[in-house]
This record gives sequence, structure tokens and C-alpha cells, in this order.
Amino acid sequence: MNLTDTLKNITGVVESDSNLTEELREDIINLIAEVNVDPTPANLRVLSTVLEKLKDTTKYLSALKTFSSFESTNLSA
Amino acid sequence: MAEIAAAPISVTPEARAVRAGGAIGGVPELAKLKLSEWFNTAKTEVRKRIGLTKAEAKIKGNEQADPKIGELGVKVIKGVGDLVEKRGEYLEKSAYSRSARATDHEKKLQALREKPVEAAKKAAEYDIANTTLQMLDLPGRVGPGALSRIEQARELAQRVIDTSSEKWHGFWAERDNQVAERDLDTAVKYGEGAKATHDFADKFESIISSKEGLSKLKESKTAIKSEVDQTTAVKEKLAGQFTEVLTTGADIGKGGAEQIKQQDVAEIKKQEQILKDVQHSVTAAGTK
Repeated sequence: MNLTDTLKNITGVVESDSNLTEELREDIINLIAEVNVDPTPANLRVLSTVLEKLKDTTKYLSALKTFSSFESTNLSA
Repeated sequence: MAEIAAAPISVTPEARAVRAGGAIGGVPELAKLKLSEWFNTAKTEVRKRIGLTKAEAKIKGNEQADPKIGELGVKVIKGVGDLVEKRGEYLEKSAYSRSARATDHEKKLQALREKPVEAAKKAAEYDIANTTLQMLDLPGRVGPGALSRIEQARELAQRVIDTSSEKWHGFWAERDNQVAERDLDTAVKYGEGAKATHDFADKFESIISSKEGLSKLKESKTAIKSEVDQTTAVKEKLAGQFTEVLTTGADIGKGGAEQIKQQDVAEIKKQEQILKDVQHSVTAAGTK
């Protein structure tokens, strides 16, 4: 899979991510588009950093959500 | 009374430590905290572990990147920070709401559990009333028939008065009459006490034997059970959402949710490795 296809796929996933706000989603898609136009190593590193943080955010927030639910129930007793 | 509904699951501190620690990558001290403290620590840990500040510094330090792309990257990182903050606040409010509902459930259950206690107290009073009657040497026990026996005592006393008045005159007659009146007063006094006890017993028996009362109690139990079931369903739904969101998060680097079917922790770790590999390949592709 070449770079353009990879970025296209990532764009598709971001577009369908309901956890993101509309504004944040647009910014990420714009960033991907800009990197696709000028895919220098430095620009790709920026995108890679952003995607990594996005992944961590989703993972930790979903974990926080699930376990806060258990905590709220068990700690109320 | 049989147990009305399952009590909230009792989670040991050790189990909570494992669970909460696993939630945000190993923070066992969370298990010792109250809900508000739990959230404050959890949110702080989440922000720290995501490392947004470092990421922003990393992008700003990438001087070779296009300034426009750098600015966009920083903007996205800040946006992610806002998302974490807002989502954390929302989750905290939701948790307090759930906590309040759980407390309400517990109160309702406790109220139902206390009903047998109230009944037992009344039964004890019932026994005391009967014992009192026996000590006063009044006939019978509290319940149907007690009143008729009290009335018999009244009639007996009255007959003594009447008989005394008719048979004897003068001092002895008067004396007997006084004795008879005293007996009557005693009978009335005991009678009133016994009647109050009798009324109480009747009321108690009507509560116990009332089909409507038992029906209402049964309906309350069903409603509570239903609410507990709904709470369980919400928990299961949240667990499902967790898996779904985590899958999407891991897919961001890989590009294609259908390519990943995560089932367990090992699979999650595998996905994270795949993501890193993809990110490296993206970087490598850019260098060609």
C-alpha cells in the first residue's frame, strides 16, 4: 500500500470516529491532506505524533469511561 | 423474608486495584480513593499518560516540518487536550449520577429489608400486650373474643352493684356497693387497656393479612428488581462501547477497522505494535 492509500484509509477512519468533535475531525483531515501534498519526513513525523496521541487518547478515555462506571456503582455503597 | 434482589457486587480492594490500575495503565492507588478523588487522579493520570504536552513540544521542535503543518499538528494536539478535559468532566458527572441512582437503589432495598424488622417489633409488642393481660389476670389473650370477655367482666361487676343495692341497705349495703363500684372501676380500667391492646392487635393483624398490602410490597420488589436489571444492562452496554472505541482507536494507525478483531489484552498489544509498525512505515515511505 503506497503512502497516498495509507493516508486515505486513515482519513476514512477519522471521518467515522464519532468520539471526535466536528472541529477536531476537520483539523485532523486537513492535516492529513497537507501531509499528503508534501510528504517530507519531517511533515510525516508531525502526522505520526498526532496519530499516536489520538490513539492513546481514545484508548485511555474509553478505559476511563468503562472503569468510572464500575467505580461510581461500587463506591456509592 | 427471602432476599429481594442481588446486593451490589462487593469488590475487594485487591480486585479494584487490579481493575482500576489496568484502566489507565497501572495506577493501583486509585483503588483506595473516593469517587471524587478517583476522578481527579484518573484525569490527571490520563493526561500524563497520553503525553500531550510532550507531543506538542515535539512538534514545535520539528523545525524541518512545514510551519503550516506544524501549526495544524499543534492545533490538533490542543484539540485532543480539550476533548480529554470535556469528556472527563462529562464522565465525572455521569458517574455521580449513576452513583446517586445506585445509592437510591440501596436505600429502597434497605427500606424493604427493614419491613420485616418493623413487623417483628410489632409482634414483640403483641407478645408484651398478651403477657400484660396475663399478669393482670384478665381472661384470654389479645385478639377476637377479648372484648366479649371484657364485657362479661363489666356485666358481672354491674350485677354485684345491683344485687347489693337490692339485698342490703344501710352501712353494709353501702360498703358492698362501694366495693362493687371499685370492682367496676377496675374492670373499666382494665377493659380500656385491653381494648386499646385489642385494637392494636386488630390493626396489626389487618396489615399482616391484607392482600392489598402484600401485593404492594410485591410490586415494590418487582420494580426494584427491574431497576437493578436496567443498571446491569447499562454496565454491559458500556463494556461493549469500550471494546468498540478501543478497536477504533487502535485502527487509526492501521487504517481499516475490519482488519482488526481484538478479543483480549494480548490482541490489543499486538494492535499497538501493528500501529507502531505502520507509523514507522509511513515515516519510512516519506523518506523515499
